[in-house]
Amino acid sequence: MTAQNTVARLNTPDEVALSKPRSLTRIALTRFLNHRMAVLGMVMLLFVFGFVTIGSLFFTEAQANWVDTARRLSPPSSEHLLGTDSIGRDVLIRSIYGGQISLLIGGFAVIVSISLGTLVGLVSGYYGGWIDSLLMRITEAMLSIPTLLLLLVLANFLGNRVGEITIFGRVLSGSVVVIIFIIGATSWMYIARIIRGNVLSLKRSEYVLAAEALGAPTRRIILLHILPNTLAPLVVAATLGVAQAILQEAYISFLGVGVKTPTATWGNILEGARSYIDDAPWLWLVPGTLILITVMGINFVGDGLRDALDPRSLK
Amino acid sequence: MFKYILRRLLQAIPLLFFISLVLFLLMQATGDPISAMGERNPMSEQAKAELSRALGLDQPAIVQYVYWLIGNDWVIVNERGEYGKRKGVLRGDFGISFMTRRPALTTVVERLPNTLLLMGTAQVVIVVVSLVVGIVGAVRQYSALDNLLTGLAFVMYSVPVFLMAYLLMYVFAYAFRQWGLPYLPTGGMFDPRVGQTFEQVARHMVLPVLTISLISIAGYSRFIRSAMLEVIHSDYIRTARSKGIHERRVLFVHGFRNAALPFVTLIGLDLPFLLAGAVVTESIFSWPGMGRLYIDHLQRSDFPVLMCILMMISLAVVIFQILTDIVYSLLDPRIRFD
Repeated sequence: MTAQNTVARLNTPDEVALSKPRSLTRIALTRFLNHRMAVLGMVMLLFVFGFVTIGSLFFTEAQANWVDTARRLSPPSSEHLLGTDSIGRDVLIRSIYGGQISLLIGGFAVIVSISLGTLVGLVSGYYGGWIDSLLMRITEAMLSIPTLLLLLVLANFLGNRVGEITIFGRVLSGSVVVIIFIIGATSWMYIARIIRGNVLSLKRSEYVLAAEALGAPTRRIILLHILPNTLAPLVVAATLGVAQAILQEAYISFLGVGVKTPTATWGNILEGARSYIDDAPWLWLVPGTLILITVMGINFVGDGLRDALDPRSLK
Repeated sequence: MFKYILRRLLQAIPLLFFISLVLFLLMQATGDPISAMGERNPMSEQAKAELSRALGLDQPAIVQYVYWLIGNDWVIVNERGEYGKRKGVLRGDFGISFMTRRPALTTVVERLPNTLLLMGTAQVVIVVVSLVVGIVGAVRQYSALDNLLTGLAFVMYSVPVFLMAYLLMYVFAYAFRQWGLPYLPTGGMFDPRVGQTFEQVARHMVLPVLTISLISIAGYSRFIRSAMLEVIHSDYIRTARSKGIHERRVLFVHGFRNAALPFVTLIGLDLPFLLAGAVVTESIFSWPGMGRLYIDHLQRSDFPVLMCILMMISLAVVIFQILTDIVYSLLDPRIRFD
């Protein structure tokens, strides 16, 4: 079915007229947009982004942290659209502002993990020798330690060390920064291995040898010749990494050692819900569903990117 | 083969030392167990210093690591000229728990059977159901059933553990109770009024096992399905069919045995991490296992117990990596080590 479609499409006059050589980016983009799951994933992510950004235009953060014990655990009503939590804070508004923090943590944790992983992978792969064996032993050791347990230890001990910080006029609990760094610091290993593997195979490629023969400095070879060619797997790993980071933040906040209140995240809204599963289902259903939509959206987009960027399936 | 196993075991030793060193230094750098003690009646500075000395926490981190590893019964630890009492991890002494004042190893090992019971049962359910779902999906590709299972798997794969757990609790514990149906318990291992009977434990296990299984099955069944599809479309399956072999025999003897190979690797490598995943599930369901122990002792910076749990899981990870390689080589005749 798909084969026939392609043939039919290529024969239309428009296609023939436009038959300039297509760039790899263009091919990847076309394939990504033809990937039904990926587009669905994009829609889900757009919904979540819209929810946390447009939502924050209607409510202020002060409202998100507003405690009103007289209205504790009130069910959804016209006043509190998605009900209130155990100390009377509005779940909808907390989910909006909590979502911003959860997404922020997901994004920045991945930036930290990509930077670390890329650095370790490039150095390890390009220099080889004892540096490589040392770094790979560390990577191996880190991979053998269960990440969640390590995160819990680090979050528990470091979470209170940083005071409140102010970003863009918003006062956030310092634990947000701590969580970003520890999630990043415990998730770089796969990236490092991907990059190292790519560097090892590219190092002997002719164009790198040519660059070396021309006397290009090592830094230039690594940054300009090798790194851009390892981008595709990096993009996929980074995308899926955001979902992992959001989940991990939710788990550690849920277990009570993550981001400290009053700063809301999807994870810590869920923290107090255990006692009210029956009486206040909105308390866990709302943040839980938002996490589900986000993670599912990211996973779909990640799969789409993997298929779109894989040169082996080039049609 | 024997040489290969021996080499892998020898390689594992430095790795484990490395893991323990990394973990130990992280623990040292991040917490102060003394400050977490005596919450209700704060200790004087002098008492703190004495306690810190008695526990050996006043030593430099690397010295503490050595004591932790090989014990301190060969050095004089106080001005009275007494030798230390600790034997070190290499002689099976993980130290004394700061919280319970009992050996850390005993504290952990007591909880281990509960975790193994929960996770072992879950693992059996996961393997059996994923195999069935995956094979059905592959054999009846693009049928209504396959599409339904695929759709479900896509959603389940992304469900966070707590959402799954709460949904199951909401339906099978609270809603069922309201509708007057037989409902399931949501926490603990048995009803203390009835006692730890087989029936009680089994009932309490249903929801946590379902929670863990449903999420894992989503990923594994997709894996089996694609492995099986790849095999079904290979030449030797076509040959087997054209020889007139019964379809069931083609699928299970010729097909499944080859499709299952990568699955063995996947399960083997994931198995020890299931122990770590127990932290969340056990906390939600108040299951008295190792994961819950970890959370309880985490809040008090109880290093000996935390290190003991972390090292046991890391050891399991390393051992399972080796076991998986060996089992794989036994199952796949194409792999030879010599």
